[in-house]
This record gives sequence, C-alpha cells and structure tokens, in this order.
Amino acid sequence: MGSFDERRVIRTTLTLPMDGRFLKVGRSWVRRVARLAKLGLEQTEALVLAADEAAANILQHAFEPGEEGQISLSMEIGPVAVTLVLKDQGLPFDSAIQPSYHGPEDGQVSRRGLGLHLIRSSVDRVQWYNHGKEGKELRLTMLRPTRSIADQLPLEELTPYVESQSRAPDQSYQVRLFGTGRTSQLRQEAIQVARCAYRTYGYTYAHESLYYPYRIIELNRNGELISAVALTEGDTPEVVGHAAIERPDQGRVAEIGQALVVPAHRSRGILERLVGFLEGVARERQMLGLWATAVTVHSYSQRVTEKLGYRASGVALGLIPASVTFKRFEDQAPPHRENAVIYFKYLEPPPSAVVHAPRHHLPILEEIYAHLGVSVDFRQPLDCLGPGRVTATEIGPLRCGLIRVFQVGSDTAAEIRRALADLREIARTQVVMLDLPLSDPGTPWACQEAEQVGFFFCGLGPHFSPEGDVLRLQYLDSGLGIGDPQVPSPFARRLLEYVLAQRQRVAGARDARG
Amino acid sequence: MNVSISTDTPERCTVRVQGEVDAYTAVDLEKALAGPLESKATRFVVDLSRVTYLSSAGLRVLLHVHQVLEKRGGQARLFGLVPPVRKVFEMAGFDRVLRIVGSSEEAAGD
Repeated sequence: MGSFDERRVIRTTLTLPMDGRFLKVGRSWVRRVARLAKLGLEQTEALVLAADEAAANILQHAFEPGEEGQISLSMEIGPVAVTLVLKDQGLPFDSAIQPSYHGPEDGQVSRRGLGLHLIRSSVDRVQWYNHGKEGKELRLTMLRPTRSIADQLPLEELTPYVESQSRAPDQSYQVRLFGTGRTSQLRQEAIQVARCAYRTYGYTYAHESLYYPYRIIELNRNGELISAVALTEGDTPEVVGHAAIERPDQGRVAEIGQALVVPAHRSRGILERLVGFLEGVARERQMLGLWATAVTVHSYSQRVTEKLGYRASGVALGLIPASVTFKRFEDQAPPHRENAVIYFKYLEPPPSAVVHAPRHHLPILEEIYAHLGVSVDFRQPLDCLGPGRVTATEIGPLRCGLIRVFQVGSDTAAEIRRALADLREIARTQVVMLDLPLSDPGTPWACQEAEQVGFFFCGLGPHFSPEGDVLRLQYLDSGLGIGDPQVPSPFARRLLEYVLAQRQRVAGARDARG
Repeated sequence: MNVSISTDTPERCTVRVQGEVDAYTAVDLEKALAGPLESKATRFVVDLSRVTYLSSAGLRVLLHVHQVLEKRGGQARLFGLVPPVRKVFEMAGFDRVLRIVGSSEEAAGD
C-alpha cells in the first residue's frame, strides 16, 4: 500500500444523517483517517474535536426541527496538510443569533460561541464558504508538523543580517526556478531560502511557509508557489535571493512577493532579475497579470515595485497584521495593522473591460483604468433578479477575511451581511475585503448595500475573479488605527486620499442613520 | 456515555462519568445531574477518569454545575482528566474557573 508521503492528495468521504447519535461515528472516522494520514496524537484529537464541534453546530442550527438532511465529511490528505471539509445544505449560519465567546469568567457561555472558539483553536486554518441555496462548506486545515528553520539550524547560523555588513565581492549570479538544480541539493536549497528569510525578517514574516523548508519544497511541487532563487556561481552555489508567485487557486492572475535579497549582495539588480524571471515564467503559463502589495510604513517597497513597472490600483487599510515588523525600519514599527498599496502589472496587452461601475465611484475607476492602460466600456446598472452566489473565506497568513461575490442576486445583500458577521465571529478577523464583479450589472446596487454595513472603497482588482475585474471594498473594525501612511507616488497618494475620504463618508452616513 | 451518582454525605455526592460526552450525550449528563443539583449538596466530586472525549456541550454542563454550587457556597471538584480532555478545558479557559484536582482524595477532602 502506498505511503501518505506520496506527492498527491488523497480524498475520502463519509456521509452522516442529521442525527446526534452519529456524532461519535464521525469522530471515529476522523480519528482513524487522521492516524492513517500520520498525524500525531495531539493533532488527531484536535482535528476530531474541531470536526465534532462543527458537526454539532450544523446539527443544532442548520436544519429546522424534524427536517431531514445530511452532513458530508471529506478529508483531503496531502503532503503539506490534512484538510477536513464539512458540507451541508441547511440554513445559512446566522451568527447574529449567538454572542461571541469570551471565556467562562463572565458566566455567560453560548454553546455556539464556545464551539466556534474550540474549532478556531484546534486547527491551523478555517475557511468558510456560503454557497447560498447550495449550502455551506467549512474547511478545517491542519498543517503537517514539520521543522522550521529555527529548529534545524543552530542559532549562530541564524543571526540577523547586518545592514552595514561588508559587500560581497563583485560576481555574477544565476537566477532560476527553485529546485531545478541538482536533485541532491533540493533540500539544501530549501534550507538556504528559509535561512535567508529568517535572517532577514526574524520570525515575523506573515507568510510562515517561508520558514519551513519542507513546505517550500511541497508548495513548489504542487504549484501553489512558484519560487525563483538567485544563487552565486561556482561549485557550491549559495542562495542570495528569493521571490515567488503565490498561486493557490491557479488563476490567471496571482500575487508576486516573498522577495528578499541578502544585504551583502544588494544593489546588483538581483531583485529585478528575480521578478523579471518570474514574469517570464508567468507568461509561459499564460497568466494575464501579477499583483503585489507594498506596505506604507516606509516607501522603499513602493518605489521598487513601481520601478519594476507595477501600477497602483488600490489601497488596503490594515491589510498586514501588526506582528509583521521590518528589521530595517524597526524604529518605525507600527503598533497596529499596517496599510498596503496594491499594484498590478499586465503581462500581455490588457483586454478591454465591460464595467458596471457604481455611479459615485465611476470617476476614480476611470482614473485607475486609465492608469493601468485598459480601455473600458462603462455600462448602466440593472436590477438583479434571482439568487446570487457568494463565498466567504479567511486569508490565512494575513488574518483577513475575504468575501467574493461571483454573481449578484436579490439575496446578495443579506449574504454579504451574513458572511461579514461569520468572518468577524468565526475567524475573528478585524479586516474584511469584499470583491464585487464589475462585469455584473448588479454590482452598483450590491456596492451601495455593502457600504450601508460599513464597507468602503479599496480599489480595482484586475481579473481577481474568474468573471473578470472586481471592485474591491474593505471593512475595518472600528477603532483599528491606520497610522501615518508614507505614500510618495502621486497616483498612489491620490488613491489613498480617495480611500480615506470614502471611509469617512461611509462612517458618517452610518452615524447619520443611527 | 454512562453516569453514576452516589450520595456520600448529605453535603457531598460523587459523580462518575464514563465514555464520550458530546452534544448528544451531554443531554443525558445534564438530566442525571438535575436531581442532585436540586438537593442540599454543596460538594460534587466529579470523576472524569473514564471520560475519553468531552466537547463544548460537556463543558457547559460542568460549568452549570459549578455555577449552581458556587451560588450556595459550594464547589465542584473534578479529577482524573486524561490529556485530550484536559486540553479541551485549557483551550476553553475552563481550567481557570473550574476546580481541577489531582486525585479523588483531594476532590473529596476539605
């Protein structure tokens, strides 16, 4: 029989009736499959608990008394993670019914609040999908334990880089895809990438996989990550730079980032070569474009990103968690979540777009499209009839929520409100992004409805959806500070001012409504 | 899931729980404890050494017992938690509120 270390994802499914007596059947099944998947005892029991709490939650809330239904449990066993998926076709969750869980000290413990708290505490990642009338899907992911670079190398090999350290001698560098050198050196190359990340960022970089050599290998192997490395020449090449395309959904656009260059080798065009190389790889894979985020706590990454030909298309307030610090700028370390400018670059001539823009955002969208060099056919909004399609998920590493509307329908406003409540309640996200399809005639109405619950303008997401461009809105918990963004570029500055003004407008309108 | 309850003294009873306490079986646990909670007992000794699984539903039942007893100046003492069960208490913060002790003697003692 094959080992679960093989480079493929194995799936298995169990269907249970909506009957509390079968909860133990589900637990036994999850326990056995998790052990087969070689999860340790503690991780297995954590996954069992999460599964049981989720199933009990569905039993309790998803169906009317006496109504028949089923819960489908699936487990996806892969080399990097084990994911449990629960699906049901019951009522959507209404987290407004149940209070949040605050611990037993306050004397009031809601069953649902405590259950959701245990789910969140048990697994590494929770993703939540509302498929409207087609039901709900909850994905609970447990990452396989693997050693981080801090567990693999002695401390003296992980000392932070010193910015003022002497420059390496002039030399040539090779830039290629990660892992395409000698097979015997694959693991060593992954260790070197992780070591560079640790020495550059400490343990604070939001994309934690970069610290785990095994995950770097597996994510590149399954295509979720396309890493490029810069190496010194010679018989024992050394990794001195890294950048990657993150492509978890294998879409036509993806994020480029995870860039780092060892200080002794900086100012030699390595970053430009890495990015150029990855853009070439993306073109070969017929990707339409790449997007990037650049923080505003300093202007360095914005300048570099624009120099590489990327153009601002939005400003996301509070996108980056406060745990991310920047070693070069520690004296400016923010006490709150950090903002980011969103950039985009087309890798081929951009197709023209059919856009149904909300009237009040039409001027700024015209400016953004012109800035990106896209010709646009702006059309009138239409009434939306029939059901829509909305999913909600948590963006793991940045601890943001993301609500994606694929099709606007008469129920979309209610679904957005519900998804927002779920993300804030279940995933405890302070920041939520909402993507509305600009090709959909109902988007102007959906935007208006979303702004009534506190969403405000973020920017344009070119081809962020299979349906095409999206209008990205954002929601921030009240009281979340945004610091003093440093945005030197004129157009990015224009976007920042617009976003801040919109945030104020939306908040003012909500206050006026009371 | 099985529950047995013995009255040791008018003030103290011992509750022995065996098996898995989930959203379905917690109802039976709650029902079994209802009678003793209405009595004058101020000390519950709760033996969880044979509980192999406990979910949020079980935690809520135990919290309710704690709250009722505390109101009348009493206490519930839990012992025998196996590691996965203890972990659930810790994740929920219930180890800070419920009295978890190391042995049956300590649970029954003053």
